[in-house]
Amino acid sequence: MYYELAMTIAAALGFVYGAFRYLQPHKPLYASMIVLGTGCIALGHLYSFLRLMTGFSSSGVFHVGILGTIGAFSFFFSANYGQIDSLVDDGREDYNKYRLIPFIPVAVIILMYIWIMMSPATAAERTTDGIAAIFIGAAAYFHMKHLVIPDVDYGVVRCQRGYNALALAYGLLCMTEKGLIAYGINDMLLFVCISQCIITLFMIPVMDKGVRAWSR
Amino acid sequence: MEQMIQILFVCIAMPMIPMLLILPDKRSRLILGYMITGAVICLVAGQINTLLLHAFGNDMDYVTTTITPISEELLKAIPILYFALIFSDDRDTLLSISFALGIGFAVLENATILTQYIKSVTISWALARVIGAALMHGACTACVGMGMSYIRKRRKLFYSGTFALLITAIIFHATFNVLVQSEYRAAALILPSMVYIPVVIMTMIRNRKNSTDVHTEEQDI
Repeated sequence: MYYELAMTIAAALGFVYGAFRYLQPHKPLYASMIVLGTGCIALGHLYSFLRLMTGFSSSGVFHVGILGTIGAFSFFFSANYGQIDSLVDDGREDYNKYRLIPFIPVAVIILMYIWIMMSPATAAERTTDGIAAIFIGAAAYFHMKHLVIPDVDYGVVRCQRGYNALALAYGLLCMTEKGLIAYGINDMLLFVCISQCIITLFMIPVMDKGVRAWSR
Repeated sequence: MEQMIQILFVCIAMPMIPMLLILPDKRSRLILGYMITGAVICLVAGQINTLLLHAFGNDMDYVTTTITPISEELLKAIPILYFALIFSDDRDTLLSISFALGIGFAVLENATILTQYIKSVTISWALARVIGAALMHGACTACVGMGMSYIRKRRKLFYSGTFALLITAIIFHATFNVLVQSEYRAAALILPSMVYIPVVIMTMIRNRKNSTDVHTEEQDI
């Protein structure tokens, strides 16, 4: 419960900071979508926190708190794929290796999901974790791609490498958290949760720094 | 009593239909039409939610805090998607009609709940339903409508963006339902207002700015 509260506060702080900076007309839609993604994280964890606080069960059943993670990665994927990717990748053949390297985190996420599938978790948990893994994997592909691809024309992606590294780490930590919950490993879970809180807190300020650098 | 929602639909939503033919301008007809559509969606959602309740072993708490927010938000999104695909993806129009749809839904839902608790309802209960449920349904549907305004402009954003906004609406709705069933009922009333009031302020500022710009342009001419 305290983890859910900590995540809600961390993500809400990022969201409020980002909302004042970017949820306005004539601001980059890319940044607005990342801010909304952070809002999704806050909302999902707020729901989970309130569910626990009001005495509803949340373990072993499907509940909409998980949709916060799915929504967040959907926004992150949309921001990178819909807004930025075409600026750095025009389909040229010599960039093929930069399109293949990003499959590494996707493969890691698939392996983590196989690990969850072998756990004693309920069918509902495995199914929702699988759906979340699809969105985390799709977003992770573009986070990794924008970390490695040479940005020769605009310099937009180069400025956002810090944010992409944090978002990629957050995605991998989300999968780790699901695995640890599935196996009931609570000692490591605390470390993973603290890391997630710290990353969520820094994600928007780092993205903001990148946006300022490219719009300078 | 089993047919109460249908009776309420006939009493509340159907008298608005003749008014649709009388209204002079297209925009008013559109908004009223979508309010009636909201009531129709509420009627359909009532039937589907009953089936879902049986499917989940009559666990009312679980269904209302997890399943009905998903079914209701998905159903409310369909008419907005239809409008955005067939007619227009203008952002202001989509926001207006989606809010109207949410309010139409809330009106019939409030009336249905009113008949279920007829002996215990008070003015404060009614006000709470207006501030809480009506604003919540309006805000959730408007949130989805905003995503659909990208349907023609930026398809890459539309698919994942609308999905993400739909998820936001579902979580918001579910959070409201969790709070409203708990001892923290007052917080459930604050939640929709916290979203609605900043949006109204921002819209007023934008409208004032737009009218000032138009006035300045007219003076320049």
